[in-house]
Amino acid sequence: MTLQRRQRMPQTPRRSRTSPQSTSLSQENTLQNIQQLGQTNIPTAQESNIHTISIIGQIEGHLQLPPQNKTTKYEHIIPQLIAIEQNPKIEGLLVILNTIGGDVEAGLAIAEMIDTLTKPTVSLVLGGGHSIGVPIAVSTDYSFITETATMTIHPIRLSGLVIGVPQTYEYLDKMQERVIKFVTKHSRISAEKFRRLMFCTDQLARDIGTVMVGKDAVEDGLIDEVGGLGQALAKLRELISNRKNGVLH
Amino acid sequence: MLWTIMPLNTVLAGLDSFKPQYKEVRWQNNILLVEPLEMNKAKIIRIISTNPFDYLNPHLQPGEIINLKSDQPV
Repeated sequence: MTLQRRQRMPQTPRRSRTSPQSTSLSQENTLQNIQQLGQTNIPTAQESNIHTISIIGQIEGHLQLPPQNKTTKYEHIIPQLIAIEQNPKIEGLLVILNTIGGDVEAGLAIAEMIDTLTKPTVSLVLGGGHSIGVPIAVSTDYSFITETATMTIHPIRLSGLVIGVPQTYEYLDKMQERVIKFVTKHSRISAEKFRRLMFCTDQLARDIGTVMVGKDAVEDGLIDEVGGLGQALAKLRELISNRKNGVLH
Repeated sequence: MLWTIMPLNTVLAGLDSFKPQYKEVRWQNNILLVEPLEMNKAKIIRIISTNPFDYLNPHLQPGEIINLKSDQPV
């Protein structure tokens, strides 16, 4: 958010010592402001053409989570994405991820919204982008991961539930397919490889799946590049100028 | 359906006792879902609007504390 609440500065009366002939126009304006309003011009924050959305904690879906969870709520993110698409002053979106996963439907909804945004988008995975954070990370036009950030890919399941009927297994499998389809469509990773990483048995202590640290995610084709804030913003600016020059991303 | 690396019993701990009291109010001509606090103050939980720009308004962000009586942010 760029708009800050205006703060009144302590008013210090200043007297101009320069002669009237040498005062420039801006000084005159300042002088006028001091005389009429008793204060100098306040520098206003420059409006940014890039907006940022941080996807943090749990991605909250249809179930409101208890307050010990830090959550990203889809009912807030989705209208903001619409506003970003609508506002002609906003030219690009930077998505910052530090999430441990969450609701599959809400996560996929956010990912689809970011994917179909016509303005340039760049994502940056900081700390962690686990589980349902993965499709959100790959949904942007270009994705970055910091060297130390991790991404965990593991199967979707109902924790602690013994699957008794084939229908339950099929439902979980279908949910998983939705995620795999989205991720493989939006990154360089193949469905076979993603599935292999998902069901890897020698990586996690008490679970199956894979933890990828920084460049592993890039080598596996999930994320485009290892980088930080500087690289992500530079890439976003490049995409914005490309779009202005008529190059489609 | 949750897909997360965090154990589900940690995520859902206290779900039974979690009963927040929310109220719908009209504030600065916006309909907001708020959690009333002490002394006419309330915390914004959700904005109910069809204008997308309301969702980028810094005064209407969830978590902001508002004064229900004066139509001004606290």
